[in-house]
Amino acid sequence: MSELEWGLPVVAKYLYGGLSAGAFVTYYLWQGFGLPTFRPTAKLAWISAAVFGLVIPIPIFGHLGQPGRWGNLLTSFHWTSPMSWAAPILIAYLIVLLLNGRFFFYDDVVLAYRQAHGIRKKALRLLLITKPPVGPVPESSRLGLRVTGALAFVLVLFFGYSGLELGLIPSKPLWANAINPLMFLLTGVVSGMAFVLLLWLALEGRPRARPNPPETVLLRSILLPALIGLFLALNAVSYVFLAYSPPEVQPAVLLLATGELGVLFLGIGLGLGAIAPMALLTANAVLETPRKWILAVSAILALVGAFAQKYGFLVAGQYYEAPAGGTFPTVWPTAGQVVEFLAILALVYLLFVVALWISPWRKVTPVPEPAAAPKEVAA
Amino acid sequence: MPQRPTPEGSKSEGMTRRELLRGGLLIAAGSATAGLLLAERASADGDGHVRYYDSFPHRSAMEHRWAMVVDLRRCVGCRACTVACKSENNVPGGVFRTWVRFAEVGTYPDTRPRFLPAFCNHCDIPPCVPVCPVLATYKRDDGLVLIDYDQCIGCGYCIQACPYGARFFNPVQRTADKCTLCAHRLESGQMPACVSTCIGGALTIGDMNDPQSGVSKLLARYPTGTLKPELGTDPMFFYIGLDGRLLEEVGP
Repeated sequence: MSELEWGLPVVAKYLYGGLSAGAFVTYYLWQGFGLPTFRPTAKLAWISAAVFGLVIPIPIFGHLGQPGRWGNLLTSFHWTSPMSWAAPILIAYLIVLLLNGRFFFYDDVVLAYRQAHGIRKKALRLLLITKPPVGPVPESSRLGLRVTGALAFVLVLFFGYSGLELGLIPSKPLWANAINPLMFLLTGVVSGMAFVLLLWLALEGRPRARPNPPETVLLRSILLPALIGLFLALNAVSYVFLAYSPPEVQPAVLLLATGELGVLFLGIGLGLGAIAPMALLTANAVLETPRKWILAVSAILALVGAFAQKYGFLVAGQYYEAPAGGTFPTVWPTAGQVVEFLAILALVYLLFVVALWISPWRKVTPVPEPAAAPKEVAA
Repeated sequence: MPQRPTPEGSKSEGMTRRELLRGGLLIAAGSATAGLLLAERASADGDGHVRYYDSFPHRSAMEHRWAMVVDLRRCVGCRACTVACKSENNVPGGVFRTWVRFAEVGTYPDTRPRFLPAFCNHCDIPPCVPVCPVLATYKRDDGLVLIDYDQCIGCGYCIQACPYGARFFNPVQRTADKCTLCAHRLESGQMPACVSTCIGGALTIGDMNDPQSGVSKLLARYPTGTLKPELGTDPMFFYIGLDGRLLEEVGP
């Protein structure tokens, strides 16, 4: 008996990858596609994408048996292993994303740098990369913003490789599904968008105030419920596939439907985590005055749902295929894995606190420079 | 493209934005292409190992092709092969390179015990090889599927990809591990430990491409079956006396 080969750390890797991808897509809806609905959340979305992007490697290192050999991933790229794509995709994504942020936040960072002191000033200087200008703030490079944004968006589309990792294993009939990459990408976008909306509500939501016109447009957006609906539709398609799969898949499906993972996957993952937020957000879109709390509750449910879906799917797929004809003692994570997961969660919180403290995510108002002292007229 | 006018006094002495963009994009593109180039070098190091899915040579094209015939009529389920393997290869407790599955076949009271010794099948088209992200697992030119333990990062992808549950995570060396068919013993002209120790003579190893080998003779004489043939892995472990009832009882 041994613990599951791919457990909570792998779920965390998928989760943070999805959150980063989803947050970036939310940002790019405004920055790249010019969708004004998501303008209020653009800065917070970029910050979320960067923080989650930086966190992705941590659970990967936690999962590897030999994390010190991670460099082998860089020197062994080949197309036949989707896991081999991870290193170049993630590194390129992070570099392009950080560059994109430099162009996106340039004006605000320069202004904030001028007003900051101490550690924050030094941190903002690092974010600027180039020497801060004196006098009027020059306009940031539009070409740089567009090119890096488009590149990062293309790289985000490759995040579906995580679904492909599972999808091309024929010996695991629950996982072996051609639409997995799309479903993983979709749950990632849903969870990332839900997180950004939740963060926006927490920081700028003004819970007791009536929503102003831009807030109303955002609260009424049907993009998130539509994406959840598409995810549910793809789920239905995959169940049709499963119905025609070899009979070996039945124990795994039953484990998710009525077995030990039924409450987690079917109840929390699909019921509370997908159907409920889709219904709530759709209702919010048609209300005369959309409610912020409905969006908040829906976002929390979607986030919890994304975790439950990923955990259930990953565990059920391998549970009946233990090495050497053995069995796994439990479908649940070990205490050590839970502690590691919570530690990474705490690190995410800390990184967000630091990122929100350093970055000028609110519009920076230029402070007029003090007038020069009049020159003394020589007597 | 015309140069955008720079406001007076805003010219910096450090890197310009254009240089920054160019440099950053070069780094991002470089991280992807460097991997491709290095991988090309890694796959062309002339060691005769095959690591790519589309380039596995068929066994008939090999000079030697190791294969095993397991005569289930002779297996008594003593598990001496399991113990010998652990002893020979220093396999840690709790994990196994070789194991014997057991099933009661038939309907009570008309039942009888049946045993199914299981190993890495050293497949002709091994699904574990192409998925390895660091090219640590490979197929040798004599057909053995092995792991480079110094290259393996312990991600577990090959363990998931193996349809026979033959791979496991070695908790001591913290890499993937599996049966090597005692490659070190074969190279010195000895039989694998499991074959040497089998008290019933149920295990026969040999060169499949040599018509005079014990394996070739058994394959010519008896009908044989392989495990999960529907997956197209073309296993090199052939079972005499393998039937549906046994497979149904022992499970996946």
